[in-house]
Amino acid sequence: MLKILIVDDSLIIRREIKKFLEALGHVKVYEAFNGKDGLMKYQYAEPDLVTMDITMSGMNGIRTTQAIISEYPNAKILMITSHGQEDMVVDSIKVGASGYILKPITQDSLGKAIGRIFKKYAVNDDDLLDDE
Amino acid sequence: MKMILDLLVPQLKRFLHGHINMEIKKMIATKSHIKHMVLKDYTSIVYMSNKLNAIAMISFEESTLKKIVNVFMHGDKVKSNEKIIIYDSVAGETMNIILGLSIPSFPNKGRGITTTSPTIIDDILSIENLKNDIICSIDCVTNFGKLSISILEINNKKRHINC
Repeated sequence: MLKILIVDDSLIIRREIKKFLEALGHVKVYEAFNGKDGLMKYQYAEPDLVTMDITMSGMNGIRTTQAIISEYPNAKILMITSHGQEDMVVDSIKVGASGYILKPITQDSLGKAIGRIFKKYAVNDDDLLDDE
Repeated sequence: MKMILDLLVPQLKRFLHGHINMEIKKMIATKSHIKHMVLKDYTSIVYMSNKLNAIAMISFEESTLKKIVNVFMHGDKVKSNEKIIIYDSVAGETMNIILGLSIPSFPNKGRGITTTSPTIIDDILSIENLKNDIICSIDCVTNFGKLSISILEINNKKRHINC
């Protein structure tokens, strides 16, 4: 079971991700409603994984990722994006994100993305492929 | 702008059919003067800037949005005291998802276009800096009710909205 922080300014997406995570067995889930809140909650909870929305008003997901990584270089951050744009994903990876998934999110896509970051949580061998 | 709207529609259909199990039964392209445009019950907009200065807007009848809310809630009931915030959140996220799915099909694969988080509006006249008074929309009739999707051209990078 992982301790996971969800950083997203969309209430419905936070709820949806939380529901999927709980169904996947990760019951220690924290929520942050924007980048600044995410940074504070990270310091408090020190989670194993962060799911991070890229597009948030104020401090966006890339800047928040950068801030977390500068303080916690081993932080694992999974970017959640609705933009199938290479440059945003590349920017996220450049600042230290561990992976990304595209919306709409499904329990399966989230589980596989977590499996790619934490091999012990891989659902099957395909999840270990770095294919995104 | 019509070309951009044409690129949103296939992703709207795909999202509704594949993710929501909602079918579009009829689509009508419309042009409305901003003063005559009536928004439906829940309306969300997302600004696009840099390479494209425009707003993508989606407007839902409550019955249509209710079906989408039910899918996002995965069987949980919406409490009456949080209905508006949940419905607004789903309206915003739907616009976000459709735009996100569509952007790679934009010219130059949408590179250089930045988007904002969704904003909920009640009055289209609250949007400033519109380039034209005429708004191109696609009105859709689904098996759960109506919705419309529109593209509004804005003047420049400066964005204002009165809420």
